[in-house]
Formats: sequence, C-alpha cells, structure tokens
Amino acid sequence: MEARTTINGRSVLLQGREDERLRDALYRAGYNTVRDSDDGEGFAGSDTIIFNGRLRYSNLIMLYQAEGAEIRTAESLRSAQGINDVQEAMVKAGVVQSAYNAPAAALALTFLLEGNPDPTKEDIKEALSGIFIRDAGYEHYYLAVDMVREKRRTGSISLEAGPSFRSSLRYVGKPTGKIDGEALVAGDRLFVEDKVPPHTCVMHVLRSPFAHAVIRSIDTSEAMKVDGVVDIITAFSCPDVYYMQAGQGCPEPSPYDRRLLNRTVRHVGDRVAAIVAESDEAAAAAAELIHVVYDPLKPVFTVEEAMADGAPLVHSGIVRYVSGAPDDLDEYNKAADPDDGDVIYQFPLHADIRHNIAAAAHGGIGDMEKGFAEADAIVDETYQTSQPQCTPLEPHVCYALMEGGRLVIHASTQVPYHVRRIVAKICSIPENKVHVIKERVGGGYGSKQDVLVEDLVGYAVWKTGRPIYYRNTRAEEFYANSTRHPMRIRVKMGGKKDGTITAIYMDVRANTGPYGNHCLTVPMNASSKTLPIFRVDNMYYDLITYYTNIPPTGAYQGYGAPKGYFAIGSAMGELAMKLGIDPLEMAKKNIVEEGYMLEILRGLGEGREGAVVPVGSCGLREALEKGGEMIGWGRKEDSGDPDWKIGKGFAMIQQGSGLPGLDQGNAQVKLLTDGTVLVLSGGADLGTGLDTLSAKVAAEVLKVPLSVVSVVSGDTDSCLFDTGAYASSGTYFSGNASLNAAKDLAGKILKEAALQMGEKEEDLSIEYPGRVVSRSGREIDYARLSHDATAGDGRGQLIGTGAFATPNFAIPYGAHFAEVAVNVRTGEIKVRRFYALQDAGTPINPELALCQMYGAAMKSIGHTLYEDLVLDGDGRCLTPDFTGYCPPMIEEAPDDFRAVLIDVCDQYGPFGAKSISEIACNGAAPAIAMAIADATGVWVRSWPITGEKILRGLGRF
Amino acid sequence: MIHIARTAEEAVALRHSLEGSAYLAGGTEMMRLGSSLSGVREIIDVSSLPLSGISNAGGKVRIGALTTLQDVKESLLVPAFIREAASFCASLQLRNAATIGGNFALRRSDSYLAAALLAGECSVELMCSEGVKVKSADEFFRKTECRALILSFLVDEGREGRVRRIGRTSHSHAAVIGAESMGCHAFSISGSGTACGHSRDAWKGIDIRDDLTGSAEYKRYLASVLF
Repeated sequence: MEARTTINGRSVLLQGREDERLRDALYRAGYNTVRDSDDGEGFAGSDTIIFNGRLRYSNLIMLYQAEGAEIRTAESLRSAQGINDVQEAMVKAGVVQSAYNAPAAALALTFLLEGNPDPTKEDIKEALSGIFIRDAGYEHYYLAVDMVREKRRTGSISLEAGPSFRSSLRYVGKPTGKIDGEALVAGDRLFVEDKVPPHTCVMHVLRSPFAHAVIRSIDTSEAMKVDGVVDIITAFSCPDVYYMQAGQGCPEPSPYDRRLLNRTVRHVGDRVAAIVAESDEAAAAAAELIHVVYDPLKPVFTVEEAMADGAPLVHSGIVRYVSGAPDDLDEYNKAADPDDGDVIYQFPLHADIRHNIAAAAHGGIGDMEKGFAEADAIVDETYQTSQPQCTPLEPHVCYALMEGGRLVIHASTQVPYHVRRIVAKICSIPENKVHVIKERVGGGYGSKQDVLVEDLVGYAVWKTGRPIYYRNTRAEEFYANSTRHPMRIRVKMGGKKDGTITAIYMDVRANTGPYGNHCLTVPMNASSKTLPIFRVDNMYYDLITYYTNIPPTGAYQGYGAPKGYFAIGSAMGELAMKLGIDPLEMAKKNIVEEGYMLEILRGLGEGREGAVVPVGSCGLREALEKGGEMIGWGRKEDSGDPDWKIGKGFAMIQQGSGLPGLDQGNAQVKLLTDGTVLVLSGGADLGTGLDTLSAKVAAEVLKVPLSVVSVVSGDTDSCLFDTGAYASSGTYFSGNASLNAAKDLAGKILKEAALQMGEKEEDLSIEYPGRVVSRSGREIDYARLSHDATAGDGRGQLIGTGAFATPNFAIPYGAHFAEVAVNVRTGEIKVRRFYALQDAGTPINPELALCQMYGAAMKSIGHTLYEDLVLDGDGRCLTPDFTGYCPPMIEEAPDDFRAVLIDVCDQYGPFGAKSISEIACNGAAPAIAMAIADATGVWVRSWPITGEKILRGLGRF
Repeated sequence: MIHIARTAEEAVALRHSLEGSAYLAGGTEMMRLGSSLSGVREIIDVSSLPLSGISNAGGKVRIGALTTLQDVKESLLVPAFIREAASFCASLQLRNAATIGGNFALRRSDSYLAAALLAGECSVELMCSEGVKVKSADEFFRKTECRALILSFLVDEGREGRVRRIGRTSHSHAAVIGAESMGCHAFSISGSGTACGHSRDAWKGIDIRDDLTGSAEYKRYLASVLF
C-alpha cells in the first residue's frame, strides 16, 4: 500500500504492507534515526517518533495507520545550520556515547521543551520514561536540559559538564564534547545497518530446541528448493576448524572448543544451520523445511550439577594442547568420543573436561591457617550471582561482502583485529584477504568483544561470494549471545577486634555454559581485581570453571570483578557486623596504598605467571573518606514511616587498565599537506570517546586546535594493530599508542623544520596553533612545512608511529556509597542515594568519564536488584525480552546520584590517565547489599536482591 | 485483513461475523512483540470511532474507551486513584497510544487499570449485538468470551480510593496490583488472575501461581498486606 504522510513538514508517500510496522517503512524511506532495539516490544524507544503531535513508538503503529498522519523524526532537528540546541547540549553534557538512540532522546527532549520551556525534573523523567539508556545513565540529561534553558536565556552555555583537570593542558582533562558527537546525535549513517545496500542477502540461523543433543542428520534438500535460497551451512558442511569466539590476544587463555556449527548442540539456541537467502521470507520458509534428527542428551545447568559425580559431560571429545600437553594426555583421551569435537588448549589451564572443568587456577600468599587462627571472628558465606545480559541497544550485527577478491566485513565490534584473525582462520585464508571495518558500535559492554556473528557471516560470504547482512533478534541476544558467567563464590574471612583482616579465602566456582569463552579470565577477575585491594598477609583463592548447558557466557564490562566484589565486599560487611565494628573503618584499615607490593598478583596472570608490581597512583583512601562524608556515614536516617527503613552501605573497588604484558596498541599520526592532522588509531572506539581521546592527545602534543585533528580507527586496512577495546585498555594502551605516535611526529616535525629553516633542531620548539618557532624569532607553520616536505623536491610526508606495550599497571581505584530505603512490609526497595567516587588518574574526557560512571553504576544497580535471565527446567530462556528481563529505566535511577572524580595523576597513563568505566560496575552490588542489611538486618547473598528475598529473610512468610 | 469500522455497530457486527478477529484500539498490544493477540487474523480497527474524551455529568465521570492512558493520567476529572493506576504504564510513548478500553478488555492479570476500575465500581457502557448495554465492570471482566465493544466507563465523581503496584521495576510486569475504594477491594495478581469484592481478602478467590514476578507465597503475602 501507499500511505500519504507528512514527515518533517514534507509530503511523503510511504510504501509497504498495510500491516507492516511504521518504523520499518520509515527506515526504508531514509529516516534512519528511527531505529529498532526491541523488535517491537515497546520498551527501548529507539523507534520513537512524534505521531500526530504525540510521542509514540513507531514499531507499534501499522503503516496503514499513518495515512494522513503528521510525523516528526529526529531528522527534523538538524538544519543547514547544524544540530539544534538540545542536540548540542547533549553532546556537551557527555550523554552522546554509543548513541544508538541518542537521536530519539533528542527528539523527546526537543518536543518536551517546545511545549514546556521550563520543565521540572519530573517532566524530564516523563519525557525519557520510554527510552532505555544503557551507556551513560540519565543524570546528565537533566544537565543537558539546564544547558538548553541557559542558552535560550543568555545565548550561550556557561554550565560545565564536568570538572577540569591539569590547567597547563589545553584539551586533555577538559570537557570538550566528543569529536563525533554531532554526527552521532544527529543520526548520521554510522552504524552497520546503515551501510547495507538493497538486494543484499540475509542470513537466518536455525537454532537448537534442545539444551544438549547430538545431531544425527540434517536434511536440507527441500529447503534448498525454496526460491531465493542461496546456501545452507550445517555442521556437516562447515569447515572442520576449531576456534573460539572470545576476542582475546593470541594465544588465547580460552579453549578452541567449537566449530562454526557443531554436531553436538550444547544449549537451547545453539546454531544448527545457517540459511543464506535473498529475502527474509525465503529464509524463513527454508527454515521450516530443514529436517533435523536429534538424539537428546541429559543437560546440566548449574555448577552443582556439573560437578556432581557421573554428571553428563558437556564436552567429551579429544583434548589437545598447542603447548604444554600433560604426559598422560593419550591415556586421558582414551575415554574421548571423537565425534563430539575437539577441545584444544593453547596452553594448560588446569582443565579436566571429563569432569566438566573448562579451566582452573589456585594460588595465594601467606599462611591461611595462621591467619584464621589469629582472627577474633570468622565469616564463611557463599554468594551467588546471576546471568546478566549486556543488552546493547544495537544488537549483534554484521554486513560482509567480497570486494576485489577480499572479504570485507563491516562490524560492530570491540576487537576488529581479532575478528580479522578469527575469520581468516575459519576461512583458511591469510589475514591480508580480510578487511574489517569497525563501524560505530551501538553499545558493546563486553559482548562485542566476542566474535559472535562475524565468524558465520564472514565464512558464508567467503563461501557463497554473495553480500550478506545478519542481525540478531532481541530474543537471540538473550539466549544465543554472551552473558555474565554465573558464579558461586564462597568467602571465608577472618578479622581481629581492632579491624585487622587476618585472612581471606575465595572459592570461585564459575559457570561458563556451553563453550569456554573467557573461562579462565572472567572468573580470575573475581579474585585478581578484588584481593589486591586488601593489605592482608594471608590470602588464597581456588577458581574452577565448569561447562554447562546454559546460554553462552563471555565478556561483560568488569569481567568477574563485580561478582567478586559482591562476595568479598558483603563478607567484609558481615565480618564487621560480627565483630561489632564500623565496616568503613575496617576497610580503611586494610586497604593498599601507593608503593605496597602486590604479591598476590604472582599467581593471577591469566594463564601465565603474573607480575608482582607495586601499587601506583591510588585515590582509594580519599574516595572512602570523601564518600563517607558525602553520605553522612554513621548517621542513622529515619524515614518517618515505620514501614520504610533506611540503610547505608559502601564498597571499595578497583579494576585494571588493560592487560600489561599482554595488550598492545599501535597508532600513526600524519601531518596532512595543509598542516592538519589525521590520527590512525588501532583502538576501537565503542562510543566511549576513545577517538576523542586520541585527537586530544595529538592536539596537545602537536599544539594544534582540536578541530584540525581527525581520527580514523578500528579499520584493519588503514590502521595499525591493536588488541582491542576490552579489559579497560582503551585509554591506557590505545591512548598511549596515540601519544607515542604524536610524540614521534613532533620529533619529525622539528627535524624537518630544522632542515627547511636551516636552524639547529635544539633551537626549535613547537607552539600553538601548529607552528615551529626558532630562538632566532623565525617560524614556519605546519601547512608550509608539510607542503614543502611533500613537494617534488621534499623529503616525504611527516608521519609519526607509536606503539605501546608495558609491564606497568595503572590501576584505577574508587568507592561507591549507597543509601537505600526498604519497605519491611512489602519488600519494596528504593535506592535513594548513590555516590560513585573514582580515581581515573587524569580524566582525559571528564564529562564522558562521569557519564560512563553513571551508566556503569546503573547497569550494576540493575544486576543487583532487577535483571534476571531465567531458564526453565529444559534450559529454555523464559525472559527473551526486556520487560521480562527487567533492566532499569529512568524511574529506577537513584533520587540523588552523583559521580565524583578523585584527582590523582598516574605515572604511566597518557597524561596521567587511567581507565574509567569497568570499575564503575563493581560497587553497586556490595554497597546495596550492605545498605539493605543495615536497613533490615538481612543479608541477601544472591542476585538479584529482590523484595521477596528480603521478606523471606525477615520471616514474613 | 484489516477492517476499519465506521461505527460501533459495524465493529460489533464484524467482530461477530469474522472468526479470529479482534478490535484494534491503541495498537500497543496487537503490535507488541509477544502479543497475546498474535493469532488474530482479522483486525477490526476502531481507533477512529468517536470514543475518546473525558466528561462529567450528573455526578458521574464518563471516560471514553479510546481515551489514552496519558489523557486519563492528566485529567483532573478522573478520580486520583484511577489516574495513578494509568501511570503504572511507565512509558510515555505507550501511554500516548494505549487506551483505557483496550487495557481493560485484555483482562491481563497484570493489567494497569483493571484493579482500579473494579475497586472503583465503575460501570461499563458496551455496544453488543443487541445494542447498547451498561454493565458493572466486574460483570464485564468475568465474561471472558464477550465480543462487545466498550464504549465508555462511568465512575462516581470524586470517588476516593487507593492503588498499589508491586513490581520489580517500573516497566516490569507487576507481581500484584491492588486497589481499594469505598470498601471495595480488587487485586490483579500476575500469572494468576483478578478478583474484587467488599473484603480485603478478595484476593483469596484467585488461584495464585508462581511466575517470573515471584512465588505464589510471595504474592499471597503481598496481597494480604497491601491494604
């Protein structure tokens, strides 16, 4: 049908099926700001439009209903003069990060301000009530509205989006806005889906209905007869190449335990067949005609089931080692079922797949027996975490094609170079035949560190030669994607009456699900990012990760640290309560400080011996003290209502800044012929502002305006290798690489200037805005310098190259404080106040750093109180949508929510910077658990902490 | 197939004559991923009928069935507890589309409005195949096979009451929604059902079951302490 509409003031004829979702018709007609994050659930709001004067979800309107309608999309906000004042304020406030639904939020706020120029906080909340923000939290949206008000009143914005640091620097440490913020908030065609031309093939994946089964046969003959079906790939036709999907440095500390498609399916939703077709309809019809014969096997879902004697084995194939094979491997493999598929370890991870153990590690310092003997009190409790899902607003997506005999992959990824390596391996082609282009990432949070769709799409394109587009449904995101590893963590902690902790033991049992992505590294973070915060002489950990048949797990912001902190922070609170002392004083008595040697790290090296290093810059004590003052620690609050009890809690936290000894960043900085600057960064900006960081670093070193620096990143053809954006490595590794490249270029500029000017190099210096000056008073600007260098008689273009690898750690520290109100009659929980204080070294982008702290803390509040991926007894996901899964929205944000940057300057980070966002996931769970215990006396030791659990703890039923 | 009804009578006639048909009002359920109406083959669009708006006459407030939840929430004519119940739909975009009639007619066990309208002892004006009828909200709610089209709700002007919603988040399915007005209690209990009566134990008539919002034990407890 054709619907006559008015869109953004112009008559537009929309074409499509009458019952088609209006969103799809709008996107197809070129209104690409109208995106889709929830497949029409009516939750996330990426599809928001103004329809006949009201804010609506366009997914919930049929095309025929648009006949005669007045429609406004976010495209209406941009004019020839640029973005509107709301969009400008959003960029300035730092809320435009991964930005998949930033245009929708801008539209909602613009509409609000048109009708109500002076909205209250409640009005703003209502305007954003139907828009899910996962990356930046909601706090700075209020600031953005304040900025708009100010600009409309005074003509300019004086409100600061964050504090400034390092007065001697021009851009670093200053809230400048993202260099790509305008394009993102305007809704430019920046995401993978925007690159897909018409007539591209689609891919559908037929998935297993069983949690554990052997595929006896797959008959695709009828399906292949469907018009438009190009190919169907199954376990019987895919390459016999073992790999794994975790995007980690090679050799990886995860086993190669899968092929593209496997004869044994190991979770509900596991891949059975990949259908390549010329239309969705053809693919769907083909899926109905594929006949699969399964032999169901008994599944295991929990760590307890997996470790039981005689438990069904998730992997029973042949185990191989690339290096370090045990002497008894042949004997071990006698019990193997060769048809089940190989499990290949790059090096030993203390695995034993005959007992479902994917990886293990053990170690510690001191004398545990002595430590516990010295204690006046001991707590020994077990804490259980759940399986939160990253829920990026842009689901996993990939578009690939053949071009000039090479495989070109447009990816939404945190690890373009790992994508290149893994896809090349699967296709058995060299890396020079693969070109990965990282497009803008509409939310990653770790899940796009894993190569979950590019492997299959890449191979299918290589095999068929056809361009293919694939996008996970939201449901597939929940049951066929990566999630946090559920963990059962036992903590035994002993302490003296004076608050000294004498010993800590952690027993971490992690559930990796069907495949071993990050099976060592994520669980190890439960200990390696928690124990080193304690100045305790006796500490020991046991880590064992089990295979099961739950949906896949993998990387998620914070890795295992949020779970480790939930356990160890709660245990410390319980111990303090038992000893009758103040937990905050106990914390301060047992924390590390600068210079303390971290002996505990020796065994926590992610598959190799760890480095013992001293604590570097550390703002932990200041964060604890300042946070305590802010929240009025020690002062009991009274709600005035006997049903509502108020409690306070806190957590001390740390993370890392990448993986010293494992990660590497590389960059180039070019002086273009007109004296402007192009940074080619291997780092993958996933919305966090890494490109802005690279630009600022280059502008600072080269002393040029930020506006003359552009950045290309994450393109494997144009840029140099980088291990990727994970483990909080972006600022430290990719940023330092850009810094080193800029310094290299600065040196070359001086050298070239000396030759051109006939001066001594030591007499020259670089000055703002982009010129070389001599002590003699002569000068040359970059444009002239570069022009002459690249002229016919010149010495060549000036290009700086920088790499960064290091054994040094740049550990961020912090403390999070929570105040909760709990209704002891109904179990309702409200986070009244949440203060996140973190030492990020020199925050290069302070406003982005603050928003990432809000976003990460909100995620963590969600994991602690609300979010829950639930399976039934057969392993089927019962929560394959947002409403069932329950992530927090603006209504759940704490009433008083503050992020504070503690000012320290790191020895090793670029301009003293450390990482920011992962650490912010670590505090909410222990802080809220402690606050609830303070309010009610009940320690809830499992995620999510629900009203039902509290009421049970209170003995209400 | 989509049928656009020009009158309420036509809509009801279509509803009776078309197998697998359902009314489409705001469309938030019909179009929603995982809709309970996904099997509907014949859509009877009533959205253009003149059934929206809120008025006050003779001591009664009349709320047209196609009045959106946002309009209900904002109207000062509507009793406060019913307005508050409309806000249980936490998304502005949904409230701008979803209608009071659609929400009530779906008879969901986590309905935003059912408990409030039942406790408020509202009357429901219906178009049936025999013509216009007025029934109590309770009577309509119990008759699950009814093909009538709701035209409006009538509630006493200034009626007082209370509503409570217990859910994990503002956007999640509510475990229990309870309402009380002038001694009439109503409860919507997730995955279990809805009941009302002049007793605070009215919930005991519901066969309460475990679901994602909580155990049966938890929901029974909540229902017992809400008021």
